[in-house]
Amino acid sequence: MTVTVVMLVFVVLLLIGVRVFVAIGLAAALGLAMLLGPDQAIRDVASFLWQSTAIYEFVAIPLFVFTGVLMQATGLGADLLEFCNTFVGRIPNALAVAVVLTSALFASICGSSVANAATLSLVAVPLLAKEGYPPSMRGGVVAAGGTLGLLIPPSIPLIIYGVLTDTSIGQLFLAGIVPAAIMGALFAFYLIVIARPRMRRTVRPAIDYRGVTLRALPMLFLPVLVFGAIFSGYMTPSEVGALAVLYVMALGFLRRTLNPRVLLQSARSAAATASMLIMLVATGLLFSQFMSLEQVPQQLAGFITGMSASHLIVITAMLIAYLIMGTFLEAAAMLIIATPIFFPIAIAIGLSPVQFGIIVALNQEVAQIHPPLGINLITVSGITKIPLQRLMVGVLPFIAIQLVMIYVVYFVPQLSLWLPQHVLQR
Amino acid sequence: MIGALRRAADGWLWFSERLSYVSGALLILLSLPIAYDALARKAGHPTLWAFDISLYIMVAIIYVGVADGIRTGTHFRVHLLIERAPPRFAELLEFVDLAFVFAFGIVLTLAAGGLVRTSYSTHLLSTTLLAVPLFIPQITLLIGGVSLALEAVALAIKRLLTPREESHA
Repeated sequence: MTVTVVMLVFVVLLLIGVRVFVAIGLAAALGLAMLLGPDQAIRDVASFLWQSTAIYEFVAIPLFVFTGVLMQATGLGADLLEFCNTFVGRIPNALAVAVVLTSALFASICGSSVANAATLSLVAVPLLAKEGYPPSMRGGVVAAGGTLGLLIPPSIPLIIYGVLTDTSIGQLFLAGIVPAAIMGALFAFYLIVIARPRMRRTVRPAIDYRGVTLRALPMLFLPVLVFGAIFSGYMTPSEVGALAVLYVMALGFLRRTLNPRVLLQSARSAAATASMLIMLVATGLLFSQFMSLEQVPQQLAGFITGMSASHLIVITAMLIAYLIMGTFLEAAAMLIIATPIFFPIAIAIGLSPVQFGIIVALNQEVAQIHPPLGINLITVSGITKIPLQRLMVGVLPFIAIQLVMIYVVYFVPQLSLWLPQHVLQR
Repeated sequence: MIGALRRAADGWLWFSERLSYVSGALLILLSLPIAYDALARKAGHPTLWAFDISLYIMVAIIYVGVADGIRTGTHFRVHLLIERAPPRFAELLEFVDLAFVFAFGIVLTLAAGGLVRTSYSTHLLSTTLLAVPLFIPQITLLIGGVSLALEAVALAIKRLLTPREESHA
């Protein structure tokens, strides 16, 4: 009864447009009050919210968001695009492939899909337009390329998933690399072989390989720092995030693309984004605490495993649930609401926490560009003024690739598990 | 009376914008102790303070900056109904949203107030090497709760007192 009332309140609050963290927080507080009485509920809200925010792993989130915002503000992403564009050569849709490569490189520095899409909207979309790409393809490539950041370390959703499910963030980071590489390759394959129109460069511009490489080198060093430091165990993700912020700041000041005013504005914007994300997680943990007290995830997991439905059906049902949620919930909110419910089910059907983490991240990727609320779609449309309807058409092939990848990761667990196992054995 | 209300709302919104810059400044600051600790540890001299300081700076960033996201629209909402509702009903939904933000702010204020009081009266310390009196970082929760409630009230007053044509412009 309590669960029904709480869920009803939660859904109504969501639908009437109450901010998601407020809806989750109030529904959880109401549930705790019904279970434990108002006084105890207030005490529990305080202690759970404190415990859910004072988590050291979260320190990495504002730092990587800040790195992304700084890269956007200082225009350093343009150097990466110029580098990739120079080296892809004259393959069909070369510039679009360069955008995907740049997205992957950018993602390995900042971990924020939105910052990635916003930066490339500014620097790549005008170039794509100049080469004659239709609006749907321009926007689609940038919005979809941005989602690669959700699988590539230092992915913020993987950090949040790790904290929510008590799974090693280092293992999750390692697990995302192979699926991200495959998906990046599939995006490129689609653009080179299948996508229409096939834009070819008629005239190859004079290329200064050395100059382009030298300009991009400081940025190309960052992914090496991030990957090397995290995976060698030399530094924690938070430490790498801190160094990345200082590095991009120093680079911005040296190149005179950053000044104290832009720095403070960027910091304010990054702090607001980080605050929003962590408030969502904190209230989400409060909500899952209430659900655990009522044993909802356990009962649901027991019910589904008792149905003796095939695991494929269970995974497909989860995928459909994510797709439905993705039509009215933003990806981060979806992660926080769905994970505590779906995680016990995934474990009950034999998935490893790491493998399920990658499946969840892939679902997040779909949600980021899923019409009508995909935040990358909204970001790209807002910056480039490409109508949302056209963008929706442009992202459909990429959504299809992402959906295929979800099943590939499910059927071939080694894609996500091999690297963590291999690196840990060393 | 109306003029005083409008000034009070403007005053709070001015102050809350300053709070958001404090949150941003703390974010700039956050990278320093962490980077210093990473380098110091590699040099064989790990700090005793960097863990606590960076953790509590992060908590402060979240709660000091939380109200700013209400005004700037950073916090996610489901727009399905609002976008399809007639203007007057959509306006009503905006007030309903602010009313619930206010309610959450009050819950957070009450909860954080109790937490700070308990931590202070029982001399609760963090379990880390620095043994920080916990009521100090927990005050940021209180700031978050109070600022959410006041932000909601100020925004509601502004909406009520701003003529519709002006607010749409």
